[in-house]
Amino acid sequence: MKPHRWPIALLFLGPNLLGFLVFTLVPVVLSFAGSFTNWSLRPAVPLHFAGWDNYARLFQDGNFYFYLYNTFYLMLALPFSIGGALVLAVLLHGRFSFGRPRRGFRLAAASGTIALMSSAALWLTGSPNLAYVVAALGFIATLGILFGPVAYRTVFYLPYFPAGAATILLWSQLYNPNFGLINQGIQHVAAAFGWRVDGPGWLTSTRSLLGFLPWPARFNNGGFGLGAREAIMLMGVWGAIGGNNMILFLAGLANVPPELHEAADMDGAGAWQRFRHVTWPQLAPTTFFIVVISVIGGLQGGFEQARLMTFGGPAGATTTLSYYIYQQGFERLDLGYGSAIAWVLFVLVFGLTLLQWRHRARDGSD
Amino acid sequence: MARDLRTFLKHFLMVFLAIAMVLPFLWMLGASFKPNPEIAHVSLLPEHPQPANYAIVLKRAPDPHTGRLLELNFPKWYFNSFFVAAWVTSLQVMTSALAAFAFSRLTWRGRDTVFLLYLGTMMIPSLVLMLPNYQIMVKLGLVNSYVGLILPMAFSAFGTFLLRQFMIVLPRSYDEAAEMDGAGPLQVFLDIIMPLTRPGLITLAILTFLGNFQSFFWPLVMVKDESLRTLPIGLLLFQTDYGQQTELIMAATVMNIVPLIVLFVVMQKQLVSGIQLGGIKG
Amino acid sequence: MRALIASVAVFLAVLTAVAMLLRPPRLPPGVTPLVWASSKNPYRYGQIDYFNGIHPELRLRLDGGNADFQRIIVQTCSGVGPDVFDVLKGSYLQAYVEAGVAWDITAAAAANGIAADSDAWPAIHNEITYEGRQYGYPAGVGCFLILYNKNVFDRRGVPYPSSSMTWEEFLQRLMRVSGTLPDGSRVWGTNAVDYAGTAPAAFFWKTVFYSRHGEFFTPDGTRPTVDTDDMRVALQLHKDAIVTYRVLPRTVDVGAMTGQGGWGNAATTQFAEGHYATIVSGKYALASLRGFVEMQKRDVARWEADPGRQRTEPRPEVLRIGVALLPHFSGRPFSCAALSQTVVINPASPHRRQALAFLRFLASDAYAQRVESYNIPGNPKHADADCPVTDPELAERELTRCEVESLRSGYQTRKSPFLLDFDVDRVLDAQVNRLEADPSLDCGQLLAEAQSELEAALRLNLSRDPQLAAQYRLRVAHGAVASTP
Repeated sequence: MKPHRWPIALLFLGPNLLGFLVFTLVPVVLSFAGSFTNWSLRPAVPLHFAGWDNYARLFQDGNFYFYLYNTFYLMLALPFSIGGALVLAVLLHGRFSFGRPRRGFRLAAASGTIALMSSAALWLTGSPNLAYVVAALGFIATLGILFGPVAYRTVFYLPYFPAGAATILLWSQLYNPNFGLINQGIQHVAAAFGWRVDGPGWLTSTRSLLGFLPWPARFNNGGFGLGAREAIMLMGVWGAIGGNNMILFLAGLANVPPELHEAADMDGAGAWQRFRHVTWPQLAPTTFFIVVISVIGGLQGGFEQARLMTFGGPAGATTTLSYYIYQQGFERLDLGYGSAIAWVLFVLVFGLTLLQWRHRARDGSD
Repeated sequence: MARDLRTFLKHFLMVFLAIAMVLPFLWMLGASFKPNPEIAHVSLLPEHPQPANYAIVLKRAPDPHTGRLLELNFPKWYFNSFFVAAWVTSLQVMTSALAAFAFSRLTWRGRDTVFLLYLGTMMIPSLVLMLPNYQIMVKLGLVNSYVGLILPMAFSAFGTFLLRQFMIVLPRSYDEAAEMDGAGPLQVFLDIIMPLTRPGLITLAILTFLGNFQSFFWPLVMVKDESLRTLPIGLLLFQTDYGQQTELIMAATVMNIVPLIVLFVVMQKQLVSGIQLGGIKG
Repeated sequence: MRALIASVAVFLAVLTAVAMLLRPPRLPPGVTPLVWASSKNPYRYGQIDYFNGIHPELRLRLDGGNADFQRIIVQTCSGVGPDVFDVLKGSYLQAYVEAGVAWDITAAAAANGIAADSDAWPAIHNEITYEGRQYGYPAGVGCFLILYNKNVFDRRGVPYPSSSMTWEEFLQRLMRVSGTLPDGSRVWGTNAVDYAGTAPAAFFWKTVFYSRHGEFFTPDGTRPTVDTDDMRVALQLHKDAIVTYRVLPRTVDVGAMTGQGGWGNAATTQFAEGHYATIVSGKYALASLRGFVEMQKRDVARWEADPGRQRTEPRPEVLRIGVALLPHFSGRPFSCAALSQTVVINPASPHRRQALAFLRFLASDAYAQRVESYNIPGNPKHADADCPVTDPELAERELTRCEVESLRSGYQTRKSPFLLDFDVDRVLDAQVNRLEADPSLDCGQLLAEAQSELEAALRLNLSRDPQLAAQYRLRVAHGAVASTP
């Protein structure tokens, strides 16, 4: 095939390349250069070269290491969100329709009616909240039986729909230590066992699950417990398990050739063995993609939650590197220092991605 | 029969998991009907339902605390979010498709190097780009304008990557046949490759649209006029130092997500099959 | 495919046309628009309407969502800032001046009747001037007072706070009135949190600090002084109020409470609902309390019309408040912080000269009449102690009297050009947060760390700006006194 000439390629590539140059390459260069200066948003400060000053300050900055710790801590939720997405995908994959369609309809009608009647009963006996939940359960069940995975996928994808502040506001309400649903739920469950429990502090607490380790007090090591970081991680997992990762896994699962499954079946492999030896290896490229993207996202994350929910608190417990960059750039107006932090973050992202790439190349078939 | 039982159990499990996911939204729906003092109460449902909340958000009823219509312009924000997302999606799909074509169907020197450069930039934290991009916008005088909201988002290395994966699996024979018939590259692109890449285009469109609808940080720094606000930052205006009207935010959010849910349900099959066909190979 | 592209293009064209149509209408020619970035206080609209009435060549508009610190700086530096804007916290003025977003109006002030020396309260001098130059004029001034909820005190049988209490007496009184109610909810003694910035910040310690007439800098501004007795006492009392007396909630607990919704300044609403026995607030609380009281009265009316409710619920309460001056330290004169809601003009605004008309308005009697229902006007000549009374249970006259009395003994801390108050606040807030999270930390130790961190920040400022460094050396050499009184 004859090679094409430059002008043709440029015509097609043109708009994209222009955008890339102006909005990606130039900012990259500017920001890199800026990290070596005293670049400030204040018009009064004259720009001059500062050499490695910003980076030197960075490595001596106690806050930097603290926020780095926070960033990595929040990423501890990644295995759960990716694993959860995989579990959901596996569950959603495969048969959902019944042998005879009429059986499906009858089941849907039955479950709908049962749910409606029990909901009404609960309402009349004075538990409107439970009635509401049961009615919702019935609604989902009916839709699910009638329409199969489409209904469930939509339900799991729900957290992706509200824009920005709404989800965060929602969860702030839920995490309220006195009146929030979560602590109230914990208290009611404990009361059923006869225990009187206070419920974790969530967003008001600097405790963390790793709080028993001898971190320096600078890392506001409040001790063992469920605190602000766990609150954010839980919210993150909730939002992520039904989302794009699940869809990607679903697609990956669908791409596994059925012959492989049949062959394993004929060899007498059980469901778990089939998963481990057939599905899991076939999913490797998808898993790799998801892990890489998630790590990249995770290292840059935590900004919205910090900005809207916790303001980086309590006592800096939920400030991640991206929020620190925002603080330095837009609150302290010190763009030079902010850029330096951002580039150190980039080196981290790049390094981790490279590590994952090498690891995958080495054991090719796992 | 046994298989049906297993299927039934699967449904049961799904519903159970679904409730755990959906509980916050149940609270949200209930809260959107609550009058303000009841937000602090522990209950999913309001004791004195106030459907007027929706009317208040839509500026059709006065806010009970001030007695006047809200100064906030929720319908406009909705339109803005939709407008910006529509433009961004269209531009992104178009430019990514063109570029993906260049990277997959055309051969030219340095093709793969440039592509790797594109991929590399995907790893750069977006915050690195945010501050200089803002300065560039200032210099171009595009701050606080629709163009400023749309333009930087209209180019995506991710989109290019995704569509390239779709195009690269199509057999070359199509191109060659068309070229022998005298078709130029543009015609090959429009009439042959694009229709075959349809699942990829739809996938990219859906992901971009949903993603852009929620974009928070860029509008936060770019937008100043209230009439230009998009939904995520418009909702911030419900939180003033005069208090936080949670019930109105919840009502606004419910109105926000219902059309998106409908869109998602309708487009779901396309989305999944699109990602499937593209596949994440290698 | 071509058809698809064409139809998408048409769709976008239609959308764009709609977007253009929906743009806000332009002003008639000859009318200059002015944008005022402030908070959405309901009384503002009346003030703005009046101003537009007497100045037909100007059209002032309120922009309620953009007055926080970052947005002002970022937008003004990018050329899209408002024409006039509020300085939400006193320490921000200095930051705005250093960032170049506050117009120096010293020359124009006298001619326009808005001079800091003659047309504004002396107590807030440091809030509107910096390094000898004036940058703004107040839209309202005040001091913090103790507002107490009479219903809460009556229920507990505790006598009301008085204006001559010491801190010790005050905290003891609060201890008697606060506690946990049978239904599990908590009545706190007093509030602690300031919302003027983005994040809630503790200020109980600051109130104590000001009552000792503390300063953050040496008179010549060359050294921060946070490792002092005044600060130590302030932090210790703050900690005691939380841990020993248990009358003060921690900042994070307040954050959890505000998320519950409620209209009006969050602490004010909580106070009106009876969660706080007292709050450290001012006359400005009236702006939101009135609305709240109206809601309560409507609820009472509903109760009176519903015999069913009358059987199951007691009569709903309507708020009754009283006022007292802030406590003092025994053996020391009364002292408190004087605060100003300063309005500043954007130097990059093309309408800055016309904006002076707005500052003139703020100093006028007409404005004073429109602000006296909830605040004290910036011009002492127009401050009227006999403001109209709309609700005897809201202590309006006493509020005014106490504010004016406090303003006579109020002051503001001196600022230093070498280190922003903004940074001092930030460092001290971080230390207070750490103290609240872990009360076993030693106050002296925390302050020593703060002191060294601030000294390092000052050195960093000097190293980045040679002119500043030269000025510093000059000051140190001559031992000059700072230009601010």
